[in-house]
Amino acid sequence: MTDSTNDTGLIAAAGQDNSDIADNLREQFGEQIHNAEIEDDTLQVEVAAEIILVVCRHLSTEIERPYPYLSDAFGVDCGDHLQVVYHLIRSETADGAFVRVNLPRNEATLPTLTALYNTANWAEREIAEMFGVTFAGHPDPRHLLLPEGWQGYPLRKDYQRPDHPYLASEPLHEDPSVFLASGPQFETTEE
Amino acid sequence: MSETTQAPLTTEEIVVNLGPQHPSTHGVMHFVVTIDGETIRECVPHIGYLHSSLEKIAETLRYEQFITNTDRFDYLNGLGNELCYVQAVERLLGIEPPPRTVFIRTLMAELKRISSHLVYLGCYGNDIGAMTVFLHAFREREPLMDMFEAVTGGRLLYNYLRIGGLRNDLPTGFTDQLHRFLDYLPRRLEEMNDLLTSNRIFIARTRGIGILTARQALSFGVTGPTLRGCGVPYDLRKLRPYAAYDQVEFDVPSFPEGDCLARHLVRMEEMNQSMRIIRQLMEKMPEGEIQADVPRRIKPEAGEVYERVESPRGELGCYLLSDGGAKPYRMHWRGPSFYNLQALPVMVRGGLLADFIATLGSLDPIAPDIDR
Amino acid sequence: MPDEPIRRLARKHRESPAGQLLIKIVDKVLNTGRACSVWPLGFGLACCAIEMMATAASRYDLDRFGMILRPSPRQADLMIVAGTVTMKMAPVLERLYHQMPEPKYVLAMGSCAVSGGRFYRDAYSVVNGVDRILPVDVYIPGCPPRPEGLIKGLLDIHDIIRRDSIADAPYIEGQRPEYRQYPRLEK
Repeated sequence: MTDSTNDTGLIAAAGQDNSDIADNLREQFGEQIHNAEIEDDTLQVEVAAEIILVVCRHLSTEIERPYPYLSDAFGVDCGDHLQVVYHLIRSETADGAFVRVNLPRNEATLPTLTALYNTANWAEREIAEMFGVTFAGHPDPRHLLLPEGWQGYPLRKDYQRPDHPYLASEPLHEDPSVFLASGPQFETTEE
Repeated sequence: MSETTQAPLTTEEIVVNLGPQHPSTHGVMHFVVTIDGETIRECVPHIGYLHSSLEKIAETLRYEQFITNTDRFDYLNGLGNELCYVQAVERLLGIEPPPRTVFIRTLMAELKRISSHLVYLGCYGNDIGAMTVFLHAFREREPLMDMFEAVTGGRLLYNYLRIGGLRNDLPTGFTDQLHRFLDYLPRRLEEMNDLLTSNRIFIARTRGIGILTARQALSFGVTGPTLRGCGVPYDLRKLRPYAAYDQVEFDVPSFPEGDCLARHLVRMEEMNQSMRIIRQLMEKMPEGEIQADVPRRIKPEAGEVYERVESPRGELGCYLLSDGGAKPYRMHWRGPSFYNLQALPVMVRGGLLADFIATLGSLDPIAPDIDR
Repeated sequence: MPDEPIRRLARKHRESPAGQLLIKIVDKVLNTGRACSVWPLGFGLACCAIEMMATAASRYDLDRFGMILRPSPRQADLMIVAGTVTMKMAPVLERLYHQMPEPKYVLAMGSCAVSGGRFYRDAYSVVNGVDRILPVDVYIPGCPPRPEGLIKGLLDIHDIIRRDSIADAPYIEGQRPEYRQYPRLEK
């Protein structure tokens, strides 16, 4: 926060300390909070998969200065386990909190957060198809970005590109190129 | 005719497919719309027709190689995307770019915002049946394209920013070119306001159409002009200033109505604010180096960073996870259009089918920004 | 084919000198008319779509070549594939191509449509060039090509159209005239 000359008064709240939130979380949930700290006024929390719904509800409604909205959610393949990261924000000051959940690779199951945040709907569908995480109770568990019937989870590190004629290096049709218009000037062809 | 014999008129629900190839869908999106007469009962968006696996490609390229690919996310905001990615890498490395570089980056991002809003204006006019505005807006956009070409060498996609610097300094004669443009654009915008914004048909087609309340917008993660059109002055340039935004004065326009007209007015006013920012940047532009000292091989220490900037469409987020190697271990891109489009079913439900395109166009979605 | 009687007549008389002259004159008139009123299906997919729009708009003004971007494939005779074709989009693209009336031409605009471009090697969901799906007449490289590049490609389409003749067999789905079948390069 370098600028505090905003006349709307929104910035004024940003200077407040968030450190009590981390302490409260640790007190309330004990062992199931694996990590809770403040880095550059951003809250970083790592929780067990069983209590993700409770922690998110706590952070977005029950604390004094809550993080009411989910801004973004994404997955990470950490090699031996998967991680799902939720980014919660406050709309007044735009400062955020990261809530992380570690999941085993084989049986990655999480409860859905769609009841809390409308944002979670598409974000969870994307994580589900990209990383193979099952979101229990999701209202619409179809593929989002990939075609129906897609095999494999593309953003996992061990994913192999499918053997598909569309991805082949030769054209399908025996009716090849006729003209190559290459001009007048193409300085943007980096490849 | 006696009233007893006549059966009451019944309507039947019809399913209409819009897209994926449709002239007004702003790229390839597919909407399955259930209508009852002319009223929309339900709308289900199908996306992913432009999912080009850029997040996977990021893991196979070195940090400096991927800069060129960031242009392809939201192609109307190429330099803004590069700014977000480069800032994320710089934060990972702990590099501070020189002040002149920061100013030029901010300047180019604001020029790109004007150009993006001009494309929006042209397409939106086209969407609701005012073809002339399309030709006007693209004519005003061409001098901008000339400027980008003079500075970066590309018309639409650039690869101009470098980690800790820029590819080249501003060329000779750029200042004159820019000032000519800044003198010329306000008059043209006024003309377009006369043509479109104060047009009675335009107002009839946008006022009270596609209403989104501030509460709904926030719960759907909607950001950018769409959220500011709901009366929430949420702008990362103001709330968490990055680059040189803390050294310039500007207002964040917001209108409380939450309809298509409010979103349109926000964008029109944002172009004026961008010009204001550009004038201040040109006045305060410091001299000096444009490249910071950067290690020859870019290998950030293991760690992660989540960088956010304000794109013309909303909050752009870039998550980078480094494992200490020369390539990102994981890159995630928060496309603003992805979350903005999610709110579309709420906005069009209960409205008329003819207003569907007007509502969709007012969100200004970009397909690769949604699908990545 | 409503023009089949004329074509049969032309094929019958193409051996005689007078017939050749007549065919040439008729071809010239017909092909000039066709070349000067190409209606492309604007198949804007990604970044190239913006350059295609810029080409159609004020400064580059495609109307001077008699071109109007059509929204429907049934009214179009040229398909400009402008952008990245993904595996989810490929079936749609193929269906739209078959909805266009013959004779029809395809123009691949931009590196992605030509060969997959920057998505060639690592992407799991991008078709490696639209020629995996459709027969392409003109390729325009560039990422994205400049409007001048697109105009050059469209003028090449005009050249292809000008080489058509009423003495040739009519276009049948999947079969193309001889001059459009070049021998493949030996590997």
